[in-house]
Amino acid sequence: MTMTLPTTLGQQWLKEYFFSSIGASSQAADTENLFIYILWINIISFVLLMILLVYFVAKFHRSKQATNYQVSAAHNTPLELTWSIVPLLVMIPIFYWGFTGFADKLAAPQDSEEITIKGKQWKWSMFYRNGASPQSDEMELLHTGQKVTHFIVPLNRPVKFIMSSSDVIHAFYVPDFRTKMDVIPNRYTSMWFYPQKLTDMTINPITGKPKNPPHKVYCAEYCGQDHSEMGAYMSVVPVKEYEDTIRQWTDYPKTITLLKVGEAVWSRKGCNSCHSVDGSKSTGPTWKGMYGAKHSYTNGESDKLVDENWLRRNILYSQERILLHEDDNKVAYPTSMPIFAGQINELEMEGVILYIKSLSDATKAAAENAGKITVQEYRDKEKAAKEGGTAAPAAPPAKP
Amino acid sequence: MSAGYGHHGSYLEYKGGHNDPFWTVKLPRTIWDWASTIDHKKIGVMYLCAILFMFFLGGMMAIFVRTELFNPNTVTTIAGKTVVAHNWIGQHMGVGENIAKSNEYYNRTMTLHGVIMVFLVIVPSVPASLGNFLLPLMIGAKDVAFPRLNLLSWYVYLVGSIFAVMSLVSGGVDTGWTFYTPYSTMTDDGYLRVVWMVTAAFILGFSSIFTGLNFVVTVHKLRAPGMGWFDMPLFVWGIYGAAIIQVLATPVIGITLLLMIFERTFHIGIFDPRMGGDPVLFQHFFWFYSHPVVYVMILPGLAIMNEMIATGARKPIFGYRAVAFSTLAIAGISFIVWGHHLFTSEGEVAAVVFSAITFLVAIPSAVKIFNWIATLYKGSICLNTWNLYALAFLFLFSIGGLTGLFLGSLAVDMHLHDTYFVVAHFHYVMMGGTIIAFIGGIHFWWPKMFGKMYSEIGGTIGFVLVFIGFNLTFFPQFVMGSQGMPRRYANYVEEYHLYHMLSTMGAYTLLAGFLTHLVTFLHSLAAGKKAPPNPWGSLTLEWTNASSPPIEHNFDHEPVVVHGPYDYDNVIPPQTKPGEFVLPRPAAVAIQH
Amino acid sequence: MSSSHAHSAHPPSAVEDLSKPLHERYHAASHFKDREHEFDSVKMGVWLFLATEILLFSGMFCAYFIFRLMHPEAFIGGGHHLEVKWGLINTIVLLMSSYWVAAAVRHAQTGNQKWLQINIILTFFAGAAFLFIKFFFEYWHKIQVGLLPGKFYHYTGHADPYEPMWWGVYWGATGIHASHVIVGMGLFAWLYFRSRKGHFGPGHYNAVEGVGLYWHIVDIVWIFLFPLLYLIH
Ligand code: HEA
Ligand code: HEA
Ligand code: CUA
Ligand SMILES: [Cu+2]
Repeated sequence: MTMTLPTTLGQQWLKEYFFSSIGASSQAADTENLFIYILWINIISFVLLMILLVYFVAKFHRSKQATNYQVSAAHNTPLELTWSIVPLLVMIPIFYWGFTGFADKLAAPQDSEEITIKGKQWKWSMFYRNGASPQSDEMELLHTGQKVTHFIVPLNRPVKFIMSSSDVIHAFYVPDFRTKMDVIPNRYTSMWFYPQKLTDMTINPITGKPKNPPHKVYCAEYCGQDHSEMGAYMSVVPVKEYEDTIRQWTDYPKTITLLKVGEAVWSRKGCNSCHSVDGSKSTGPTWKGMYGAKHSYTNGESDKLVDENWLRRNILYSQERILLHEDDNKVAYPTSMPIFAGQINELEMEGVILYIKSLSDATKAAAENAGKITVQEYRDKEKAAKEGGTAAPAAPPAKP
Repeated sequence: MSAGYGHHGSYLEYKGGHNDPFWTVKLPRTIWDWASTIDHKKIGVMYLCAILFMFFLGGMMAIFVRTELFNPNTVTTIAGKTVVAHNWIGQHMGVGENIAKSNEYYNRTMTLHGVIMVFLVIVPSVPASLGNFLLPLMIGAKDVAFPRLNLLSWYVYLVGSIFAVMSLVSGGVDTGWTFYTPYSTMTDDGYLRVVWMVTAAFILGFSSIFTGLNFVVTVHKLRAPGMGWFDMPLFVWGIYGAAIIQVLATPVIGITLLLMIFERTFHIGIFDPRMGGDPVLFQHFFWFYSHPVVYVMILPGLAIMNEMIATGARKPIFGYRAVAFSTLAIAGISFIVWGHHLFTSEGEVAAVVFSAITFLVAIPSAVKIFNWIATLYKGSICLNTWNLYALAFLFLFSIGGLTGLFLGSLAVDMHLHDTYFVVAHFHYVMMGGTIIAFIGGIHFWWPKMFGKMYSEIGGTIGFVLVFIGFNLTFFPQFVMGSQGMPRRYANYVEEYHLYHMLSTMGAYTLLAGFLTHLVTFLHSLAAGKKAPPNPWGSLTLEWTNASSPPIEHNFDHEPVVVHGPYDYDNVIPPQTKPGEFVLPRPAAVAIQH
Repeated sequence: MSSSHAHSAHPPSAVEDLSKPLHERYHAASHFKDREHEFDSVKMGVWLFLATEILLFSGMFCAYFIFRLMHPEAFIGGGHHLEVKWGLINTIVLLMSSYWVAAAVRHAQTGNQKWLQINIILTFFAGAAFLFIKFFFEYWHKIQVGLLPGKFYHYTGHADPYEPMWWGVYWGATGIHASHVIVGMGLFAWLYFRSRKGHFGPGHYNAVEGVGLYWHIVDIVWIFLFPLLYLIH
């Protein structure tokens, strides 16, 4: 929606002053225009009122009583009606414009690039459609020197964030795009925008600052101790670079061992937000000693031995199972785990299963020994297996 | 009329023998006299002291907050290890090096500031102190309808405050004044602090229900003969409107806080997503009370404005009925806009309706502002401290209210929600509205309450400091807010530094201003000259029929209402020196009534 | 208490006819015109207070409905543990008590001291009976089998994962209501001793009227709780 006339007045410097940067998308620009529009209405009505105020005080000050002090009308219905109705009319466009902008910010286009975002005290983590998550060297949040996630979004493609929290309520706030949305535990909220400016770190000779630095991301809903540290940086990159990078991010350094991959999966894919590895209690069952245990579930299945296949099945589609306590069979963990099929590749699957195995005393030694092989060796074996015709371990089925 | 008039002499004066020994008789008797009084005036005065003390406490918390934010963290890297220097709270809590710890101290200070200011200061502020003192006087009654209930509500307030203080000394809470779940049900697990603080809010709720209930009945049943609804001073209308909201909204926060206490102690799960509960439900419950309550905060402020403007301009309030009805309109609509605090919670469609109604509620407030400015027209305007405050109110509350329009507009609120823009907005309405009117009102009725005049010089200096300090503190917050500075942040990126420094300097100026007022008042009590019964030449009953300070039962004869509260066109204010106040010259044009 | 005596019943001047019963000698507090005036005011005050009570419970009901919508199965499952029998008996007990308290007010109006006292006692014991049934036959059993709110829930039979929440709602609602019954009984005890002293009569029965209204609200709340908790499955 465009309402140019009142907003063009002093547009630029007002925007510079109140937003310090020009919005990074057309949506943001629309919000700014609305802001400036309201601002003008406010300035006008406020200044008018204050002029009257000062004028009256000066003209009718008690020292001028003899000349000015007069009986005047005690009320004047037409006048009062006018000044109740005019503000009402003035506010209708504000409301309507706000509403259209709101609708626009909520309704993401079908073809938008979906990125899953998890909020956790006090860190944001992102998962791309191929299960990758940012691995680029994290950037320092300017004010505390703490490292925060630095993630990327594609240029000129609608980007939709699908967000949920694993503890308390947070809010994902990208000031440059003039929008935010709460991130709520056990519920998915979403927000989207349309990045139209490339991030550009080259220094602007005049200001001596980067031409177009990465966008800051804040947590805007109070979430405790390090609420103010819960930031992130978001860079806008060309689609090609975007695709390459996220593919790269699924891969692991060639030199690390399978066991390390498993551990990385545990921390990166957010397993750690529900499963402890030291036996401590959490939202989900601990992995310590899980391998080889017997599980019963609300859907009737009972005394299932937890082995490779069982783990694989559950990690991919755990949805339908809710774990029961061993002793009394009452629900141990009310919430069920999200589906990971399509979010995790074979390498990671093998790694994480070995990792879980290594957490049970019985299988510890074996797992650690099997987990010794590096990513490099694993890939070679894969290749060899392909050439040798023997099928490589079945890749996970695509998202149902 | 049954007996009871007759005891003359100030309600303040000691009723014992004149040569009672001080320590053994006079002091204990006086203390007991106050502690057990059911005289609305004494209860009002006790409230006033308690509330000003709490205001001081909350203000000090604010000063800590600002001091911390003046320069929260300059990070220097020494031998690869980042070290945080200049961390005010941190260093004074002996954790200067440790960001995490000092953040936590910040969060607790910030929360205590909000909780104290809202639940212990601004909600009871005007009704419980000035309202208690003035309501019966203004409608010509000898007391509120239920004097003992009134005393009870005072003690309930004390008990509530004690719980709050208990929570404070046992480490305070870090939930933010909004107690959002699930954070509030998880934090400080194993400590009772949060439960104590929530219990405090719960108890204080009852105190405000009792007061509200008392006032509603008083206004309905105890008006002096000849005082119809539209002969009441608009102060009474305002207090009445606020009282209705208090009675109807407080129970809901009561049950909400109760459920939250259950949640914390039994983990019944209703607000805990992990047990199938709904954390956002709490927000709905909370704001269903807490939005109406923001009008509980402002209506009494607006109420005071009427008296100060009318007396200060010696004019009938322009469009009395419009102002009276706008009060009821605000009270009514306030119950259906709570959703405007949840625009970004889930992006529900309902938000649209809430936005629309939010704009609606702005109209009655606008009407009041317009009517007051019109009241000044052709008046005889004085610039005593209290009237300066009245004019300042018009300036500050307009800014505060108008910035509410940004927040009411959906798309813009998506950007501004939970930034300093909101912080600035509500300080402009709460501090710049209610508190400014409150301080003005204290000056206005000071002579009536304590029978002493205050020094106008002292008052004016204090006012100037407060006015400048206030704008210096909170205007920069609008700017950094729209630039994206989130609220409840213990640290911030460099680009906001300048604004924060300005804001902090403003806060110190404010402190200086209020201290000046404090000194002025103390000086007046100690050495102020005796106040005449009607120093400002006002026409409401407390000035025209009662002495300053009023006698124990307010009036020595039941007052009979012979003129309207603002009938300045036809009546020379009684109890004033002859010739001190004159009538306006009849207007050239015919007056319409 | 020098400041308060003026509000007390006896203005210093008034001449007392000590032969009259107390309730006829009663004077309205000095800031009221007369007994009528005081009576009306008190009544209005009580009604306002009851309004707040209703709002308090409606918050509770609101929560009930929302969670019922979110987890119907848990609420149905939970409801099955409640014995309609006891709920019904308690409903009847409260309805009778409502009649008795109404009667008490009427006898106060007509100045029938004997029946005034009898009805007050009856209502008191009705309240006691309600609590006895609630605690002894219902709460006690649930405590034993572990049908407790939230983290104290340790019921071993098969149950819906969200039932602990239902029990939170059940204990919350009935608990708050029971606490109101206890307060009510306290008030009736107080009324009883005052009525023994002959404080109440045609001219002056504010307290009886007020407590009566309060008790009716307590009943009505139960009338809503009973079907919601026991019947709707
Ligand atoms: C005294 C208390 C008080 C008052 C009176 C108000 C008044 C208003 N408030 Fe405010 N508000 C708060 C206290 C108050 N508020 C608090 C404490 C919060 C934050 C709580 C928290 O999160 O911690 C808040 C937050 C808040 C929000 C949520 C922001 C967010 O968290 O995202 C919104 C959104 O709509 C809002 C809107 C309004 C509006 C439209 C008014 C209107 O009533 C204003 C009406 C007044 C005017 C309009 C000005 C006078 C009129 C004129 C000068 C004439 C010209 C008028 C026109 C041209 C229209 N307020
Ligand atoms: C009535 C309400 C009220 C008042 C008056 C104030 C007053 C002040 N507030 Fe506060 N504030 C809130 C209500 C209020 N605040 C609320 C509800 C929040 C939200 C909390 C949350 O997010 O949970 C908040 C949050 C808040 C923040 C944001 C914190 C954050 O989000 O991280 C800041 C930051 O600058 C701030 C600053 C101040 C300052 C500098 C004052 C100054 O104006 C204070 C000046 C006063 C004094 C210095 C005391 C002087 C008094 C005396 C000397 C006593 C004697 C006086 C007389 C006799 C007249 N406040
Ligand atoms: Cu996460 Cu604030
Ligand atoms: Cu609001």
